[in-house]
Amino acid sequence: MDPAATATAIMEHSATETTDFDTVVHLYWPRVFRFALASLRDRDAAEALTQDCFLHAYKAWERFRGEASIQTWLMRIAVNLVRDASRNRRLQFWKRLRDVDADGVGVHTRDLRLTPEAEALLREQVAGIWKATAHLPERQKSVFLLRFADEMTLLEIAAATGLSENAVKVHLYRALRAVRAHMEKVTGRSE
Amino acid sequence: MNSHLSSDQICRWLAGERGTEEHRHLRDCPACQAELDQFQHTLTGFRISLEQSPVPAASYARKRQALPRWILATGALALIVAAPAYWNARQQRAAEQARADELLLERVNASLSRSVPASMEPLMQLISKESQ
Repeated sequence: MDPAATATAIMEHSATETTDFDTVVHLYWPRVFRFALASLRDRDAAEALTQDCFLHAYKAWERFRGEASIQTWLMRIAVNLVRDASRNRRLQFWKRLRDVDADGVGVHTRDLRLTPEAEALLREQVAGIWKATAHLPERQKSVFLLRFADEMTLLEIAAATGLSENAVKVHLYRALRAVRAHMEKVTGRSE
Repeated sequence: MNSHLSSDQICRWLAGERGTEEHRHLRDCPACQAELDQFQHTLTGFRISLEQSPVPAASYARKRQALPRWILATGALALIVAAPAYWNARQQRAAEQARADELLLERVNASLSRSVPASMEPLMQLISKESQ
């Protein structure tokens, strides 16, 4: 069974059935790690948070009844852990942007077959998004990352964050407005 | 809607607030559609940049087996507190053993210095009295 089909099968089953937790780890570890990395900007902290997330999930695995999909459930745990970690890291401002910064995001354009000018512009704009998200309030950042890094639907984000769908839209709109304003400032032009 | 979509309207659209007017405008206005596509293209670039970031191997099992820090800290504290007491007790035991050894040695010496074995001493005393 390919990973996508396995993921679908797992989402359709509740945890009380014979779902293998190791398969869940294998499937969702990268997603949780990337969300943590984009949220915390620190590779070590992101790895520790991902471990914590799956540890929490493992402990609660018996109680998981499948009301939400496994992805939504895991992301809810991750969002809470990121919120706690961000509170703890407020005083550790020197750690921010230590691992992940705009310089580390340039490689992504190699498969897009762009002209050199278009590639340079895209790289600059992507770097602008990275920088802009670093300054977003916690909730806006989580909603933005769940939507545009994890490609979750508004309903899934609502379930993962405990917000209403309308509140998700409001936070997402504010985040997009801030990101766009930052990009316009950085590139000196409107999108 | 005659003018182009504002930056705010594009953000609202992407956030899921999609009105009929905006929908119609985007369908009829290639410039606004292109601007929306460009922004979405950049957001896709952001997602891909994150996906290309290396991911460490899953290791929750290692953490699951690790002892909690408070247990390690308590153990270390107990060791620090107990070490001097253990050392004193050990030295005291050594001193007692040395005293016992000394006493035993004295007894052995006394035994060796006797002219007759201890069990024969009463008989020797009797002989000595009779001879006097």
